[in-house]
Amino acid sequence: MTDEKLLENAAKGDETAFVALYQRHRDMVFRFAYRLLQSQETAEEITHDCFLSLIKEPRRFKADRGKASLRTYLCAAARNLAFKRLRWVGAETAIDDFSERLAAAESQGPLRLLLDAEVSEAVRKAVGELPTLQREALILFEYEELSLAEIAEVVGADVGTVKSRLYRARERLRILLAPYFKEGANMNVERCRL
Amino acid sequence: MNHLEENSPDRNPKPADEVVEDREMNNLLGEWRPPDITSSLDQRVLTSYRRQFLHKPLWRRWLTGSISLPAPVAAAAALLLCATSYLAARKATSYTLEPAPAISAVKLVEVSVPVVQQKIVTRVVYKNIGAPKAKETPAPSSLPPRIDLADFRPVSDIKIIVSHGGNDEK
Repeated sequence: MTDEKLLENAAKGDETAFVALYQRHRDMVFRFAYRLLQSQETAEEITHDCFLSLIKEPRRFKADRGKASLRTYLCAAARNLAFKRLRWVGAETAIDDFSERLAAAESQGPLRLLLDAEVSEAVRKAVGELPTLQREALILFEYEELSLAEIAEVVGADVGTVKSRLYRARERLRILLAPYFKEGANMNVERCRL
Repeated sequence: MNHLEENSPDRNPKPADEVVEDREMNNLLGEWRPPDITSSLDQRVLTSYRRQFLHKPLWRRWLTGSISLPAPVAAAAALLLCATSYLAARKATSYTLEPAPAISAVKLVEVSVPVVQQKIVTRVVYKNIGAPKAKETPAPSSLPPRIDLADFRPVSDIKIIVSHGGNDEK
């Protein structure tokens, strides 16, 4: 069943349709919100609000049906909610304690897990340091695999601007994550062996 | 630090004409995985959904409910409404209204009217017609003057004359 049909039924009170719709898009909305704000709690709140607002006002999506898919629409809704939160908290995002993560990884034993946890944390930090507009473009392109046109639709900018943001985000990441690229990564492993 | 502002395009060293596939970067980015969604989220969302629909009272559904209407039908209905309103308004204004009778303003003018107050004085005057005026005697005698009532006859009817007051006392 198409997203549109599911939404129509869900808006009428069909719980099964709502659950199907929710399960189809839940992870994407949560992942995007989490990577943007880097807080699980806030990302879950945004996911909740996102689906509830969709059910409360399904016509908002219907009005844009010609232009956007439900996936794009939900991304845009999550983005708006995330930006609202960023403004409320003065652009400060909650960041989990790295040492706790390392301890959890260490408890699992192998050195590989520890290294993975370190790289993961470094990437998280580097992405978090990007300006918000560059970050959202990167997340939507790299993680959610949206097309440039879809990203442009979500962020309300033209494709050229999105490309430019992506380019700058990658450049910045290349600097921030330099130690983890080939040579740097090898050096890292050597350091760990020592 | 996060910030919403983006660097100005001038600071961009070269415009990105196309997004270059960077496998190494992608692999590195892939290392960052988000945590799993807690089961409480699903429960919360479902609860909110049920509250939204299943426990909504009928009167509230009536108040907040809406119907979907095809755009041409809505436009036609709006046009019809406008036309009806216009005709009704035109018909109402076509009647010539009779001017309302002018209410004459009652003007109260205070006029002072002189009131002549009359004073009526009634006096009875007895008059002796033909009686000689008494001569002044040098010295009144001790005896009272004698009044001769020989010719006195009472009048058969009395005629009372009421004269206007004045200054001449007659």
